[in-house]
Amino acid sequence: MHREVVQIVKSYEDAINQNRIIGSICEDCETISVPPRAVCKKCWSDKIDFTTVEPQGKLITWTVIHIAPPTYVDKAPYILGIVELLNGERLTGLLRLPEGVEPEFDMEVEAAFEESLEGAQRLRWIPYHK
Amino acid sequence: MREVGIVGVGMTKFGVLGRVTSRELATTAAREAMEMANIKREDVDAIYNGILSPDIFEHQMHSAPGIPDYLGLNNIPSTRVEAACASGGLAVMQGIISVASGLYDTVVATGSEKMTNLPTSHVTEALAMCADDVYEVSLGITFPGAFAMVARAHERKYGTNAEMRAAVAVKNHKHGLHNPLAQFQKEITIEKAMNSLMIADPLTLYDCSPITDGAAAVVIVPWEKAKKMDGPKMKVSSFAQASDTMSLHDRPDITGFKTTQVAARKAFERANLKVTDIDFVEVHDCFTIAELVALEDIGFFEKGKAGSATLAGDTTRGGYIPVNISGGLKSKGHPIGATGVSQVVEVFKQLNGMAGQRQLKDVNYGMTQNLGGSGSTIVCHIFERGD
Repeated sequence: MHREVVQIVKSYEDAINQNRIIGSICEDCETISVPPRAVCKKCWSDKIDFTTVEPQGKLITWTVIHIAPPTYVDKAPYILGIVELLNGERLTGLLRLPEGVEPEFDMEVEAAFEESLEGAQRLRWIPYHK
Repeated sequence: MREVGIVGVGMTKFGVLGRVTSRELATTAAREAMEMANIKREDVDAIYNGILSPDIFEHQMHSAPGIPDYLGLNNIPSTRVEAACASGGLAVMQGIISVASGLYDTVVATGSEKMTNLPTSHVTEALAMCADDVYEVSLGITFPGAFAMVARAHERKYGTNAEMRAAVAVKNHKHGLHNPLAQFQKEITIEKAMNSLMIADPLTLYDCSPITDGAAAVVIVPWEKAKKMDGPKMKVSSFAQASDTMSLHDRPDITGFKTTQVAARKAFERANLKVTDIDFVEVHDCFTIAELVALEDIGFFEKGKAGSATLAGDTTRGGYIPVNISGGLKSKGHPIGATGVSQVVEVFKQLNGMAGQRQLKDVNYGMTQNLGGSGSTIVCHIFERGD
């Protein structure tokens, strides 16, 4: 017997491709991790399922990148930030703000997805619309 | 485990060195260290080489055998050690462990990198590959960007501002004036640092360490053997390593690095020393904010106090704790794999009265902190005088 490898990253990428953010949920202690993990960070169980999480949160830090790697040079300057989701988990993502809107601490944001791209790089954060 | 000492060091000029390979650089530094230690070539049992990426920078994988090859030390084990920007510190640590274990009696630990073959944006991309490829790199993160996010979080919580960060750069450039092997011997002002090119807001050009070629090396032997040798020496008091999540966002607190806190605490415990016993420290100032959080995480200052302490001059020579007397990564340069080894070289020179114009007085204990990724790997060492 051998253990099957659970394709955590692929599951995340597939969900992002469907305009959803998923986390892993531990079947033993119900801890949710975003991004998903193969082993529960709290109780170390490897009985993991996936759950779609609320694609909303607040901006806890950010930078404006002026000197970019070759694949991102065309986009510079761009705003990259860390967003704390409603469940307390965090994700890095690009911010897409309307002209004249500056990033600020605790700014409420929601996920958007770049249609022309695939996988984790599709994730964008835009101001939250109630 | 056996007690271990260092009995020779070598370091090339750090800078933009033209058409030369990292193995030539490592060979030069190693040869210098072996001459200082006065060891014969047949004495060397093994080599460890800290290097980030000869693959990307030089189109050369399997680089480790190239060093014994060029040194004329064929058939001894030679191992590449990669831990992002902590590769050098980890190579020294692996050398120390292998001698402490009793397996080897003489080990040369080297660190090297040849970075300036590539344009800046390609170097930025190569370094960014030390972050999480799926959740960070795919979204365009850079290392200045990651540390900029740390700086902004630190500023929000503790008020550590651009002037305080610039004070780190000014201080390290001043220290570097007296290091002939440093990339820069040039003083800068707070105003110049704060008004320089924006790299990743709020970090400007002078918040960032440069792109550098260079190598450093140390010779590691059992302390029983070192004691009987006539030349300069220092004793390894302790070492410690720690890891954390690849992604910055996965950590509860991004105003510091838990890895530095853990590794420093273990190093102090293993050496039976307190932070107040340390006379000077070489920390990993890849960015100015990194020096400030390192000083707080090791425990030289309370959280949030390193910025004002730096502005007040507490981290200069003659200050409360001299920090990066070598010039640090900022002024000495940051040839990735060589950096952690060069920190150990500086401690050795200071503890043996070999630091020339930058020599500190009455120093007994020196410490190093070498950081990889966004703090995902930390290696700390403490050394003491050997006489």
